Amino acid sequence: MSGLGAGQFWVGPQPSAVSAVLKELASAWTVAMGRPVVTRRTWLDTADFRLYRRGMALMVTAAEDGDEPTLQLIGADGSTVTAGLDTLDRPCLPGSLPIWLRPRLEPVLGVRAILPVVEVAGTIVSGSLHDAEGKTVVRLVHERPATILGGRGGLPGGLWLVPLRGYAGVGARAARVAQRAGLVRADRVGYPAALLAAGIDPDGMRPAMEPGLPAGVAVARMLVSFLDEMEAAWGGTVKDVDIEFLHDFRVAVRRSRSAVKLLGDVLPPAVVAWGTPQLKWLGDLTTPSRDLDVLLQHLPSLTSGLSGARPGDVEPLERELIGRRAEAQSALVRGLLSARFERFRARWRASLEGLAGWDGRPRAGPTAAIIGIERLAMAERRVLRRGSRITDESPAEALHDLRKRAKELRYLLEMFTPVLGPGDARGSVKELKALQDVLGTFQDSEAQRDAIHALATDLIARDGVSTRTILAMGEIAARLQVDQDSSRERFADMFERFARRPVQRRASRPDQLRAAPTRAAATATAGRVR
Amino acid sequence: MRTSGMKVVASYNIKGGVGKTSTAVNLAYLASRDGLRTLLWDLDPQGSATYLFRVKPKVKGGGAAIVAGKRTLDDAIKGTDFDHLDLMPADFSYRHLDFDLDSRKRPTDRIRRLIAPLKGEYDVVILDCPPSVSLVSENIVHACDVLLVPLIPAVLSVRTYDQLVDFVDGMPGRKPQVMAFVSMVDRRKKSHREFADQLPQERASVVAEAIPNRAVIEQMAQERAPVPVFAPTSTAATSYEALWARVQSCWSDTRR
Ligand SMILES: Nc1ncnc2c1ncn2[C@@H]1O[C@H](COP(=O)(O)OP(=O)(O)OP(=O)(O)O)[C@@H](O)[C@H]1O
Ligand SMILES: [Mg+2]
Repeated sequence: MSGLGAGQFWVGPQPSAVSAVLKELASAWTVAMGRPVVTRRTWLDTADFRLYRRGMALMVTAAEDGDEPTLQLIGADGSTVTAGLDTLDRPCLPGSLPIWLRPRLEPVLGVRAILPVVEVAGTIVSGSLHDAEGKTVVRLVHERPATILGGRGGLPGGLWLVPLRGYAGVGARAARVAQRAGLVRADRVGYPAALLAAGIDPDGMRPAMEPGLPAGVAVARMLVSFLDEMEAAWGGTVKDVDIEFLHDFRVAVRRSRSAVKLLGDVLPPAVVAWGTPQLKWLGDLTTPSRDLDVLLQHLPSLTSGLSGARPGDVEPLERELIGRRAEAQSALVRGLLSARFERFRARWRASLEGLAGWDGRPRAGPTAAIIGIERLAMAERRVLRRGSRITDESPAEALHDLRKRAKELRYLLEMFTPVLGPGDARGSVKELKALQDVLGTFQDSEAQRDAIHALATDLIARDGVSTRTILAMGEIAARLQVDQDSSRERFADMFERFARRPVQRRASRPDQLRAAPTRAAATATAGRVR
Repeated sequence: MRTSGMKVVASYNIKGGVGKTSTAVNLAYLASRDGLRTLLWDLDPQGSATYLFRVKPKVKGGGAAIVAGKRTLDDAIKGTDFDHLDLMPADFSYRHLDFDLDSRKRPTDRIRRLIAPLKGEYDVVILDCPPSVSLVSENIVHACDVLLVPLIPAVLSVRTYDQLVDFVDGMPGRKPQVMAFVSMVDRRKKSHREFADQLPQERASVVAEAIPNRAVIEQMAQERAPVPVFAPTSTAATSYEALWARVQSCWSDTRR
């Protein structure tokens, strides 16, 4: 079944249509069909569908006749690499991919693991069209309707016509035969078709906020969607599939905390009073693991080309970090599996869902649009005010604080994009992002430098560590200092650019507050902050 | 399995009927069976390799279209019945070269330049060469990484081989690795046995992986398929497998 990427898949109203086409083809060429084989196909991807987004597919095919399962990578251009057997672990991190897959997949996957996404089982009959010389000119693959494993629905059956290279003319003639017999060319085949059939929608967006909703309802719905995200990332975090699950989990926690802090006054005070410490607990619970993940990710670039150190010198450091990360991970898992977490999850969902319903009747109090615009304006003013007070002499704390405020602004922008004019958010998000990047580097390099210092102190106290290792760590700390200094130098410039482009032009035009939201505004969702 | 960069192997001997085409066809098949994207280029106007893969040697438009620049090498390539194995049919290649070779002074890098754009598409290109001492053969020597020479057990064939080795040695610039093997060995004949056993010891560039004389190799013409397809367990098939492994060691060795 190789090279199907270059073929066409024809589907018909009834399964019998394919047989009719085969009969028709047999009058012009020799048709040779093999045995029907029950085949299980599993598509693999990252949890956030990175392969799907690049138009790629990674598929394991296992025939029930006992042949070894094969692994096939189909590129965005339809090019196919089939490699003998499937030797992937599940989940499989990029570092343990087979050599032949690495150059093509590593840049796409980043740190994400590959997991099974959809699995279908069905009968497949392979065959070919031969010309008068007995030469194969078109490959045929008859896929009978297949079922989605562990789900409802199925993939429709059909016929693949895959002309061999140099036989496009024959391929076109065979396609005309299929068309005359009433088949149509499927526009969605392979992985995207399987996703659709399984009811998985990787392009699905969080439902856009309706500006006319009562503010309390809108905020509760938003918090429900953040809780959904936490729950979606929970399993992968507990199983430590890849480090992005924890990251996603934390982003959802942070978004929730910001929403409760900045918009909580539209919710019942008891809900806020109960939720706030719970969310803080989750933030604290997840911080040590995430910090170590980030440091470990950053380590190769920090240690490459150290001037005084040998490669082996930093190994004790890496070992120590990996050990600490494992400890932090088990503490995290204990927390996520605890009764406390389960109580939080259930109660938080119950109280939010109780607030998220709306019968459409007018309520007292502001709408989502009014609250959104008001809080955005406040958040923006806060960023501008605190940012403009920062001078070269300001303590680091002032920049760290500004980073938090900028994050809050960004979250609000994302939450309330639909209530802003289409042009408003998009242009300024770029400047805001650039500002956040500088502040992020500033704080992260400081935090990492502190971590390196603390580690060095511990390692020395424990003895057995070589001087070379400590010196190498000193060099790493110095590099982090350079990073921090240079981000501080860039700060003034970035802030200046941000201040020149206000996030929200509408805020000064309250007359337009009640303007009906346009579709364009509703879909102009800016890149989501992580 | 992937190699680093496209490798070009020419099955070459100025003598006719020594097993060049049989070798090229079977090795190309074995390469593709390993998962390597392989192109077999039939450079011989007789088109034996083209015939063996059931491809019609006639190319639409033929040489004229090529001269007019309307067709490129790429357009003429045909998929064979086997995964990862494509064929450049004879007619096309021949006319293409014929024209070019006449119109230029000493275009000895013509084939190499024609192959170069295929780099991203194939891991291995195998050239099935015609028996001649024409400019085409000089082109071949310049184009390949491994010059694979079938030697039939006869004193005369050693002499021509030594001349070939001298020629390659004296060649300026980039040189292929010359590798010879004994072809069509009939182990029942004492002279064949001695030839096949001694030559690899006397000449470093002659490898021990010989191809025996077997009826099943001749049968390729009836079956119109490579030997491992219709006689996978035959000694002929295993001999070609051993030879292919040896050829591959050329580039895995140099990488180490
Ligand atoms: N090892 C072998 N045992 C038996 N027959 C063989 C063997 N190798 C080749 N032959 C047969 O010998 C004949 C010539 O072989 P082949 O076409 O491979 O040689 P060639 O060098 O390509 O010839 P040409 O110079 O005409 O292109 C063919 O009929 C082929 O089937
Ligand atoms: Mg020949």
